[in-house]
Amino acid sequence: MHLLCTICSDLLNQTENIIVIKCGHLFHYHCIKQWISRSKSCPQCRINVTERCIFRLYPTISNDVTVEDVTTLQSRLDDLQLQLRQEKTKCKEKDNQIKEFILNMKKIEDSLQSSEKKLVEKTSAVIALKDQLKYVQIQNKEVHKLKSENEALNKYVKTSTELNKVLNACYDEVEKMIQDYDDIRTLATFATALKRALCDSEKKKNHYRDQGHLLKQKLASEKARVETLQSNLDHMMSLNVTLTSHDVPKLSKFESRAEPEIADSFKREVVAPVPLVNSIEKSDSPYLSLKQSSLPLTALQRRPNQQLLDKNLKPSEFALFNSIKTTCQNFKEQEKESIFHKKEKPDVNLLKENVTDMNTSYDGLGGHSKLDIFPKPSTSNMTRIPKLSAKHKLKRPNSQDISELPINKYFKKI
Amino acid sequence: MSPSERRLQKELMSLMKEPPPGVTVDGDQASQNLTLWTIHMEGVPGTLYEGEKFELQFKFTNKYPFDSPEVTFIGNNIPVHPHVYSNGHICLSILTDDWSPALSVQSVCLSIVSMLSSCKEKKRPPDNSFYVKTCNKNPKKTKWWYHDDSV
Repeated sequence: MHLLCTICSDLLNQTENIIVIKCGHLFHYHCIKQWISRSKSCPQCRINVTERCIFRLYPTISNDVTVEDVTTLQSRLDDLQLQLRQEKTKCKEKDNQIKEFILNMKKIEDSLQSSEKKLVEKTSAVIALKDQLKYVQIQNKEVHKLKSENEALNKYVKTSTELNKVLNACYDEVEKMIQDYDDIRTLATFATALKRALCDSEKKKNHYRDQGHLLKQKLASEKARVETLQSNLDHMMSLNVTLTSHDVPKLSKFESRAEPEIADSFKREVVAPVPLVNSIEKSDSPYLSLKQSSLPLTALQRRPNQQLLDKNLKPSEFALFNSIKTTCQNFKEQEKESIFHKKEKPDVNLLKENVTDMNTSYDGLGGHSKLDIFPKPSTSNMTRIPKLSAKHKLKRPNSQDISELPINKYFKKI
Repeated sequence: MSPSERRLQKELMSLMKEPPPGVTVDGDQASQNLTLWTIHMEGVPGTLYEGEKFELQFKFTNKYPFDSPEVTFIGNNIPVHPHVYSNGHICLSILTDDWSPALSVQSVCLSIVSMLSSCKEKKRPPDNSFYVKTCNKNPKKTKWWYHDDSV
């Protein structure tokens, strides 16, 4: 006989606490106790149940182990099947877990491989970077070297610029600069530089002084010569005047004789200054102001519309302009030869012209009407022209200007 | 294994082995999760629900069998019955107040089959719309007012 507890649907064993309610329904004690705590009624017939109407049973069951009835076997089978099911489900779960693990393993292996690859790449990159680092370090050293060099050069440049300042700046500035300076070395270099510059300037000064002395001496000698020449000239003039006034017919003869004399005297005059000219030109004496003043004059000379301008000028302006022109032309020749040389030659010509002029004036003195006399000097001029050098040919168109030269005027006055 | 699981396992075995007519249990789902069963039910021939198929869901707590299971109709076809609300809740006294540990899934299924079979007119409960709007998800939390003892 097998009894079941309807609450837990398990078999009632004699070893367990079996109770009976007054209605006669059997349960496990722990089962009915739980139910009664909720509802005081019989689970099967719903009769009212209290603690008092519960009784424990103590059945005596035969211990015949050999006989195994179907129901116990069935219940055992059920239990075993149940266990089997549970085990199967567990097995399934485990299988699933294993599958998951395998999948994870594969993933991890893949990631491992990829990370190994990455590692190799990284190591190669690290090696490359190390090489780069070495290279950069070398470069850095070079840069440091260059920097130090640059600094040294900068210092050098600074000191040199300051030296320059010291040498060129005015006293106050240098004083200030030196006060600001603390470095003794630079100050020493400044001092030495200044000393050197001072020595140099002293030497130069001495040299220039000597030169000045020399020039002064030369100037004095020149002056003396000029005086002598002037006196000579005066003497000649007086001679000339006396000659012209007293003996006109002899003049032609005299001319031929006088000419070489005058020419000789002028030659002497010309020859003497030549060596001086160069020295004068080179020197810085104020006598050479002509050279400087010629700059604007040459500019004027170059103007192509000069002649047109001349026509539009007032007489006074024209005279001024003309004088400038003549000086310019004079200067042209000066450039070619020398001041003195140039001056002489026109004088020689003028003298001759003047002689002829004198002739006419003597004849005429109101002898302008004597036109036949005029051709003579012109022919003489003509005859003389071929003898003249190319230089003088160029001067021909300006022969009127020559008549206006100061010496000519001087003659006219006389 | 807790006593509730042990009992549920035994009930599942017996239900699969000797199911009541028109009642089948989804054994695989139940054995996967012993606290949630789905039971297929067929309308008994000769009744208003002949040919219809319903699905019942049983939810058990770990205090089963002292606690009653939570039983509701689920799926597309919820039987039109004066004690079955349109959300699947069933107004049946043995599921709440009159529960007894001596009852089982099989006996509950039989009670529901008999409830459906005894129906004479297919209609929703009179307070259906109001209840569906206001009720809790769990039918056991409803304070049922068993107005009709005839079925």
